[in-house]
Amino acid sequence: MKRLLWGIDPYRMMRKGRRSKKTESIPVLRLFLVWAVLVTGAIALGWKLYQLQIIQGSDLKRKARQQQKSSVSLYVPRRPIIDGEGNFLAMDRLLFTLYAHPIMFKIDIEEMAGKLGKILPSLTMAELRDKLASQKTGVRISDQVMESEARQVKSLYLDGLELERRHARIYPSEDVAADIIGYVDGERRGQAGVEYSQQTLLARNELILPLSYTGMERLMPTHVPEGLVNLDDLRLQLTLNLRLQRAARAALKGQMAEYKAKRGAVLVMDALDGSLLALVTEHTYNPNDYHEYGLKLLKNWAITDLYEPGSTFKPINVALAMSAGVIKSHERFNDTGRITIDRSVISNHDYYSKGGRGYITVDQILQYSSNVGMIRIAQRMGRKGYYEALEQLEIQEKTEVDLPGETPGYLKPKKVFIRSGIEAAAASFGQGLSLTPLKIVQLHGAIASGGKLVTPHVVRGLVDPDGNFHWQPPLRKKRVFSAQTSQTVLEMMETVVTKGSGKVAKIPGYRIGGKTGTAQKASATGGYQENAKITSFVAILPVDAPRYVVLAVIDEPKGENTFGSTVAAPIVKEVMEALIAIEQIPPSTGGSPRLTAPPLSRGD
Amino acid sequence: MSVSRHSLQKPKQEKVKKLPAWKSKLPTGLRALLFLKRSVSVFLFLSIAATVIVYSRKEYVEGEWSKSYGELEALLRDERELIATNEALKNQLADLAEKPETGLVPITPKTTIFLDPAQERPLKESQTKTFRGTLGEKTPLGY
Repeated sequence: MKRLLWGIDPYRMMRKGRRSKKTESIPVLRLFLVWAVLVTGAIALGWKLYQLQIIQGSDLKRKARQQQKSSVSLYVPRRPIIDGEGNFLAMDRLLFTLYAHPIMFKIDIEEMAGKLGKILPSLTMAELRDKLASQKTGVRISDQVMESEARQVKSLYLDGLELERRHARIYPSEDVAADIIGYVDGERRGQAGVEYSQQTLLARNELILPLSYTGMERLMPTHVPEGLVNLDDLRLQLTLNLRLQRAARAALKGQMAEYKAKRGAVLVMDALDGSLLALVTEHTYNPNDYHEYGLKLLKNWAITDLYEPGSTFKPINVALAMSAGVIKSHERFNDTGRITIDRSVISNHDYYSKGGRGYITVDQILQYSSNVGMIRIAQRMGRKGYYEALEQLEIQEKTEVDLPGETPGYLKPKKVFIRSGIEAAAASFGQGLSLTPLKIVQLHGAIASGGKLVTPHVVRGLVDPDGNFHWQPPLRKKRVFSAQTSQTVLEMMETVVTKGSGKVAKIPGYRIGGKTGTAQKASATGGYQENAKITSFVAILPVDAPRYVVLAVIDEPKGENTFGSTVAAPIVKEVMEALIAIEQIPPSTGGSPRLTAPPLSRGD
Repeated sequence: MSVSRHSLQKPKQEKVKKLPAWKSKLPTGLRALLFLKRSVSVFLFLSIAATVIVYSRKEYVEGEWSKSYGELEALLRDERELIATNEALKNQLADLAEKPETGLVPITPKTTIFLDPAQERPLKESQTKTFRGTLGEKTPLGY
């Protein structure tokens, strides 16, 4: 009664007091023994628990993690690239290589071939049997196993089969837009085009996570990091229009084949903001098999290579002279057909057939592409003034296009330009200075956009599947001509298409401004090559609401009648026709749609 | 045996004493401990029940999560394959369309019809008169 023991029935304790002393000693001993066993057990368990949890805890935890978990590199696809209309231009996919080790098979080869044949439709039964019988181990059955097929192979749970996963970037449009998209190498690094220049937007780090899988190969959510399920599905949208790109490529290919040209390029830019709707260079490559092509083809020469633009530069010079206020649109200049400057004789391209034309207006200078007329206009600006005006156009700077490898244009050094008259004279008709085709498009874009130099670009931004933008590139605009000047020059360019050398590009119902260009190519040793020329045609449409600039450049066309008007202008026409249909540009003539609504009158 | 017989014959006529209620005699400390023991047992039982419920719930949710995640993975996989196949088909069709033997021609302004939008007509005065009077007190709104 007096001693109290834990876990002992008090009733018993009370009864115990009335019993004889003989019986009393046995239960106490027994009780003590039971108690001792229980308490020792509890202490021992507690000790063990302490050892497992506290002393060996971290060590055991590590061992457990090792057994349960494996570092899984989670598939995080590189962001897809889509065109302006949402067509996929580049996307990631998983491909598997299936290996077989017949030595480990638990079923015979015939049965195995039957099972695999059902899953892999690209292989016939006979092929599978032959492959499986060829070696004891390491038979490569196929390296083009799709994700769904790989899953089916896995679910067979057969011994002796091995699947190796790899990432593949596919370009469904093949060579149509390769010049812009570029390609990625075996290590998933962009090597050309947007894939290279926008690497930071496209690439996402592969997530290597310590994940636990159940016996059924299901992911256990216990240690899943945040964000695993919410990987964003943003896409990189380009300003490119795949349909227009395709049309431009077809037009360029056709004309290049006809004139057996060395290379060619077609560019279409929306001058409102500088977005490039098409950028085609020939010859090109298929980014799905980039390793089969030479390095030369993998660059975009419309951005990386300079050429002397020739007469397509004349409208720019006219705009510069008008901005400087040294010429007026209705003024006349004496075109003598040939002129001597610094002991060099410069003549018009048609001097031997047409001679001098006498006094002609500025639009006629453009229509006949008169070199002498242009020299006279440039002389009005003075060499220094002309050079400074050219510098304002940022010819020696990059356009900051979002494609890799851009080369800035080239002007003669200021001293040389001012010292000798021949430099300014040559520059007035687009020789002696070098630009990329892209720069020419940007300069004509200034005429089309009411005088603003826009940044040409191909990336519209990162867009989610619902079409909301999450990032857009910052764009720059700089005024170089007045709106009035650019419209006047554009109307002069329209006469080139209606009356002058650009007649080929006429499209009924549309007001189009254009300018041909046929330039001699500079040779590596100085001077110009005899038979090598570069022909081009630039067009701006529609003149009444200028917006699009189309340029075609063909390098070294072969044959007799090779001029900007014969070689390049038909391409531009074909591209413009496609552009009108795709962008739904209404005809210039005819009633323009009324945009202002009459005031609403409402019945009460 | 004899003892037992004797005892049968002479049953003791002792009065059964009423035992005192043990509880009241227990010291307060012990009673408090007994109470504690009982409440701990109840608490323990409830805890075990709660643990079992929470654990089974967790296992169920984990299973469901894994299942849904598997479905998500499968859907993403299907989406990728569908897009790839769709784009490959589009490209194939576009390539085919460029060949003259298919008889397809590119769209040009000549083959396009541009319609001028119809002139906007002024909105007509509404014919129905809006009721503007006040409701008489006698007219019920409804029944």
